[in-house]
Amino acid sequence: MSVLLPLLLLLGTAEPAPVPTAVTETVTETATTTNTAPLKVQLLPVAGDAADNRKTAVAHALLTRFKRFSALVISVGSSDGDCTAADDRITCLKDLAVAAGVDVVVAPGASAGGGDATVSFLVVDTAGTTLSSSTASVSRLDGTFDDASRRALQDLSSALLEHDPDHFSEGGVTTTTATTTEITTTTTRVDQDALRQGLLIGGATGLGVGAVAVIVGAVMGGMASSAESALTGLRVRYVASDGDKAILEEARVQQQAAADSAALWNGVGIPLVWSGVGVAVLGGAAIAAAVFGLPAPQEEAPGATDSGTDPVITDASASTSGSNR
Amino acid sequence: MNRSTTHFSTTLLLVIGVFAGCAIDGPRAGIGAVCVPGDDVCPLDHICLADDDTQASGLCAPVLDYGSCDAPGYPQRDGEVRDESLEIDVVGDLDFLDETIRIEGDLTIKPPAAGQTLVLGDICKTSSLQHVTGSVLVSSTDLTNLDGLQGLSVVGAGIGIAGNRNLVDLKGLQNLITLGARANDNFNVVIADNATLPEAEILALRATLEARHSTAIFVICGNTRGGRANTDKDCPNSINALLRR
Repeated sequence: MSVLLPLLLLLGTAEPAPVPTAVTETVTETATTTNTAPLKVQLLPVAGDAADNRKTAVAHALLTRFKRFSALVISVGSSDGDCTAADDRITCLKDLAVAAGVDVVVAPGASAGGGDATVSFLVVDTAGTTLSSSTASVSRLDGTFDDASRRALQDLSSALLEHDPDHFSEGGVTTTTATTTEITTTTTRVDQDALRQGLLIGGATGLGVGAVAVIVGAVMGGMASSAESALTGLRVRYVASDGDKAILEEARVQQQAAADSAALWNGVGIPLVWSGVGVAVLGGAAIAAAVFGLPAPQEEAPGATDSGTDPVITDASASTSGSNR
Repeated sequence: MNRSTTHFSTTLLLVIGVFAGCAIDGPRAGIGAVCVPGDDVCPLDHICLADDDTQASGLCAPVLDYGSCDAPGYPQRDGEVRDESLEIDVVGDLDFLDETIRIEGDLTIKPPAAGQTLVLGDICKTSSLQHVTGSVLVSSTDLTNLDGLQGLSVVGAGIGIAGNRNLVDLKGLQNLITLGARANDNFNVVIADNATLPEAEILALRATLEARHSTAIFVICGNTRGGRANTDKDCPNSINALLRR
């Protein structure tokens, strides 16, 4: 890497790749005003037996999607109040919404039972009405959690839009209270993507530039070789003519051309060929590093179309509000 | 990166390394290169061809014909310089001339003792020779021709061809461009007592050399003329002395 980065910078074809790191960013968003009263929504932790990273991806997708709705105040619950195990889960969630002082609670779930990946979203308001209950299950042989998550979110969005278009339509002006969101953002992936892209672009450019340099240098070598060959031909003609002095004079001119082309080859051609080879090799190495040396790109989190970052909700008890726009 | 890609890359680098790493030491003096007679710029099997000895420079020209000998080799390569005189009195000594382009001194080819004949067969191994700073003497050999000396274009102190009883051909000397005089008698060329040498060969060589050296002094005596052998009395005393050695 220490070799490749200077190359990329030297070529000026790739942006300097950020150093992969994990940061915690604090986002303060200022309230704006709208005509629609905001709907308070609490997102509960993702329940189910799926792996934590899968749950995180589902939570990320859910949060990202809700941030795109127009008039919500989003908070993240710390606990689902064991509603998952409750006999009457709807009532439990309703009580949870009342207790939390929100209008709606969203209970996501992710499980990996059997050979299927299942993602579900249940939305209940304070009246105990199920605004949406969407479940998507995908055979893990044919798809991934992200596919299931994407489908369930799509169903969820459609149901909410139909139920309450004022709050669950995308776009429009949002009313939120000033709030602070703490999101642990892992920039590793985006950094690696940028690095990979930089390596590929820089590598391809290096490969191209190197190839051109080699070709130009080789042409110079060819010219020198051609001039030498021309002299050889003149020698043959001279001997065959039994010493024609006109051919000797022609050879004198050709000698000068041979001297010039040889000097060009020695002074420019050889360095050009070798530097071209070096640049091409570095370019190839950059491409190889991009293709073989970096981890494969992670699967895009569902709905994460806005930034490419991976917000991970870390403090579920904090009053968290996301606003679109 | 798989193995075939690695092998391909390695092979490519080797090929480029072999063919791209070599500078051309040029302009390598071959045909048409500007030269000065005696400066040894021209490569093996070339002479520095000037119209006559008054011209300061000429052009390197390939030797057209080595007669019964092979050319010393092409493409061009550098010859070696011998920094002392060379006397060849046995056939094996000719090996000293292999790829010798210049002798700093005299080249003497003659038997070790007077009255003997040096059996050589040929002197093709002189074919690299372009320049002798001193004199050249070929005496009392069994040579029928001087083929191999076609590359010799500069002789600093005269040339003597004497007592070669089988000699019938002087074409080996046709490319002498610059010819100095012998130190002891100031003759440029002595051709004497070559019993079977046709007069036509002598006259042809003389015409060639006189065209380039208008002031050259030739001593021609004791050779076959019209099928009749001349006597030693035709030769100056210094030549007789030479022949009596």
